[in-house]
Amino acid sequence: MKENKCRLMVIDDESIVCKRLKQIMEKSGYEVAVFIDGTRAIEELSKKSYDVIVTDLRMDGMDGMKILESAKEINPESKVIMLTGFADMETVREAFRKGVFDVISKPVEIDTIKQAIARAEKEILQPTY
Amino acid sequence: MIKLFELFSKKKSEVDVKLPLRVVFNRFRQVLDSNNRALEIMADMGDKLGGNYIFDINYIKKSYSEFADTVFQSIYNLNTLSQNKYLYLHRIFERINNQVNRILQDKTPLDLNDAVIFYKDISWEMTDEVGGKNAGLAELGNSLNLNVPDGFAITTNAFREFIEYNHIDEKIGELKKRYAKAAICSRKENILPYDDCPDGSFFPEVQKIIDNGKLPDHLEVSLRKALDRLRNNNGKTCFLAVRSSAEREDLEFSFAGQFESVLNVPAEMTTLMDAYKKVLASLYSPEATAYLKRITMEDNPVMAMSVGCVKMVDSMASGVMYTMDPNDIDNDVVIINSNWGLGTTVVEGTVDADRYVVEKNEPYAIRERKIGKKEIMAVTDRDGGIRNVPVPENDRARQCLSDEQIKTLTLQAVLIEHYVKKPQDIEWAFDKSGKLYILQSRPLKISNKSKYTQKDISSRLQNYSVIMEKQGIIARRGIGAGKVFVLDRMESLKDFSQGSVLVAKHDCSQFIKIMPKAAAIITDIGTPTSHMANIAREFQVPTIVNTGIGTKTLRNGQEITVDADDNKIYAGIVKELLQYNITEDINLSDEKEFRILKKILRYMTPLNLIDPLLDNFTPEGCRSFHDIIRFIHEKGIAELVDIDRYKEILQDNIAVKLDAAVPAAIFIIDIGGGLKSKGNNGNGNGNGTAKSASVSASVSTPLSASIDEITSIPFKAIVGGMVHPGAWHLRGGAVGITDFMPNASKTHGFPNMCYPGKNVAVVSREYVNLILRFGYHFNMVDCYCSENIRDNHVYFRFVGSTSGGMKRSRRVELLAAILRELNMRINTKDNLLVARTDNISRSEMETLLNYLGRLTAYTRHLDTLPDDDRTVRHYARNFLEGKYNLA
Repeated sequence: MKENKCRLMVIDDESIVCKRLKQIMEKSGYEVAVFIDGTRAIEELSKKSYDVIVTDLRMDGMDGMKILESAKEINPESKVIMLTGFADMETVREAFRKGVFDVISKPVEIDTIKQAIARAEKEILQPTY
Repeated sequence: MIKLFELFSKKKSEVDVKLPLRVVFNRFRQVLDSNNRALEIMADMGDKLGGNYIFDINYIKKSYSEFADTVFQSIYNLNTLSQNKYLYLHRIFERINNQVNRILQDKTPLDLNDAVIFYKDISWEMTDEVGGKNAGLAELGNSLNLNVPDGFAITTNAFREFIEYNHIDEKIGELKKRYAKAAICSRKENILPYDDCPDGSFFPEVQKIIDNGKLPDHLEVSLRKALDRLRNNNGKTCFLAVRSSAEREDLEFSFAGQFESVLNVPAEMTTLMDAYKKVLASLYSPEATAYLKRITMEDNPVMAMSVGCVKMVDSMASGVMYTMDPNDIDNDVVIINSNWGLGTTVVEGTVDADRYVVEKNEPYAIRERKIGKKEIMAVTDRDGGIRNVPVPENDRARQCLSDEQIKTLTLQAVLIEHYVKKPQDIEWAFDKSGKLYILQSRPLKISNKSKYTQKDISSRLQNYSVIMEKQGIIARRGIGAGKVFVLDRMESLKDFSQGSVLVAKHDCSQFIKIMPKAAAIITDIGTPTSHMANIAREFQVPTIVNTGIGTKTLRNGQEITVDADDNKIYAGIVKELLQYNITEDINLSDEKEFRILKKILRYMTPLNLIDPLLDNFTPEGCRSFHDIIRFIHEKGIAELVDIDRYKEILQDNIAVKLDAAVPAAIFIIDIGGGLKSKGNNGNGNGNGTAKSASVSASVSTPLSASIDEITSIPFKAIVGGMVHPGAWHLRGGAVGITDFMPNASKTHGFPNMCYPGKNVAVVSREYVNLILRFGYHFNMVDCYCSENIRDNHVYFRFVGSTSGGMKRSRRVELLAAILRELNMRINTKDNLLVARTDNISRSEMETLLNYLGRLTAYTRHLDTLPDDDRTVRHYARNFLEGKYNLA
């Protein structure tokens, strides 16, 4: 068992996504904070550091792209995984330009998101660059 | 028979003749395309109920919208094909579409809009309509066949109408204002006077407002009808228990004891109305209001109240039981509290009740037994209402349940907890004849959660050995543990015991029989979209399908824990996982998105139009989208196989004749990859699904095709059976003269015999729809057969001739016996037999189709089924052993 699994933040204005990801990732041993409001999530990020941030792309107010920018600005080492129900190529490209770790379309199979998070975690522990 | 002719000799009106066949053909393929797409989306949505995906409401909306568009397109395509024969389908579509859209907009679908719904018609996901308590109790009655009192729910819709009709909200609003002013005058600005109700006068005024309310006329009519029905079933002088079942009660919030129940109400309109209003008013009680505000953190929380009206059980003894020790979840026990008479004394804690702590496993030993000093008991009054009376001296220190009754209760507690998948707090009663009733079941609040935090669960799990990992696909998430039950033959299913893990070779919808008892299900071969997987989701049974090695790896009787969250199977019982699971906050089926999806699927997936020859096979008979799709498929095929155009078809190279040793002319229409085309490299046209094939492929096909030239997987298998040596069995038996046609084909050794007819096979690489008429019998096979198990299905239909009196039913009986041996699901009606199978592998499918091919040949001489006393079973066995002679 790895000591101190990384700290995870989930942001989605659909509460069911937060609720289920929290449950699933906690069972795998992660510490998980969830936010349905992007602005509050950013506030939290400036107070406490998170390793992996899973955020929905399209949300009212603070959307996923802004969260990506702020998260990278606050902590360039953090990994951001973006969830989206409607991925157009342009947005995906923009997200990668801004340093997103992965973009995953919803609905997502639980194994897929778990693996993405595990890959992000691995990269934090042993950076490939 | 008349219907059968209608199917084929469709009015050769203006319609058909005008369209060039090639156009008809292309339109037919468009019908198939849209239909297939609709089925795919439907399967995809059903799959999501298994909990293996994270989705939100947007997914449901998006998928449904695409689905509805596709079905619409299918209807449109069928009408282009048939030249507008089925325009009425659009109206049916709109009707169903409206219902679903109402659900998506958080409104009650119109068919659930009734003021009253009987328990028999209530299921789990109807909590928005009938509240958590009614839904939960009705579900236990309907799914587990537990004995729950007969009754009905007055819905939340009725409540809303009542409130609106009587302007209750406005009136209470004014009342609040008046009280607020008074509070300001008395300088209590910070206190909301109607919450803490300083002089206690606020709530009685609310009660008065509600008491003065009247039911809108149509609600009163519905309620009166329901009451009459209940009285007819239970005697004119029956009494009712009228109980709250608020919208979110017992779901997210427990509201234990916050709302009113009125017991032993005479089943009369006036008394019922009084009780109903009393229960409604309790929604506005200061306690309930304060509670609701506190937990929702909303200023003006809105909640609708449904009310349950069930037959009052005049009980000998009753009480409450917990399916788990709420203070010590390590303790594997059921806790039972009981008293003489009605359960109120136990629920309210006004008596020193008997208490039993019973072990949850065989032999259900009573670990603790405390006999209370039971001084009072509640009893029913003859004229209605209940009262407390002293317990007769002799009974006070006497145990009010027999040990046998304690065991009965424990077994039910285990059954219910198992079914609901969460610990329960259950109210029960034994009536004076000793019959047990379940009166209520709701989630038990566990005060001390799992002592294992989520974090260290994953580390503790490392102490258990994993038997299987990441084998197969999760069809329903969850955790289940128990003894392995390897199913060797279907007949052993009846030996399946409560709480075992079913391990089987294949998915099979017959497992529905044991679903409520199963801790988990594992199959070697199967798919998350099978009927069985759907049922497993319905029953919330953790299920892993298509593991490949389940039956080989797991041993009968071995204890295992199935983690269908992480797709792992552990040796032994992993207590940590089970506890974690049971105390977890999320119960998928309570989540709003899951409820909405489930509700919507009820308008999508059920298939009511089983057979085209039955009376309901009309646009009007379509009650779900699946029905519409099925109808379109059937009518699309019917358009294509219109017999009178075969000359044209042949000339146009659209059809070819089957060149094989069968005494009938069978026309083959290839819609893609079903036949080797000469001049091509022999692979048909590649992927060959009905979807992607192109018409041009058939241009170079010859006028006839031999078996070797068939590349349609299912058709080849059927023809293989049809030419099976002896299957036609031409000697022996008295063959009726009507079987023969004068201008017979003289090929393949069938001199002077050729069945008249409309024998057509529509084929693609993976598909066949074969229609055969021999004599007066009519066979149809519709089959999809590919490498992908989840798409595979076969549907076989036989319609016997109407002549022949007694023979008729025996003929169908015989076929049924054979097909049952082949593991098909059978429906028969008079002269009609329908058999189905799905989700089996390609090779199994080919074997089955070969038998079906032999059977189509065999049905020919069913006219000559001897009238001796040899049993149907005998002939069935003969057939399967390759003896086709009936003489």
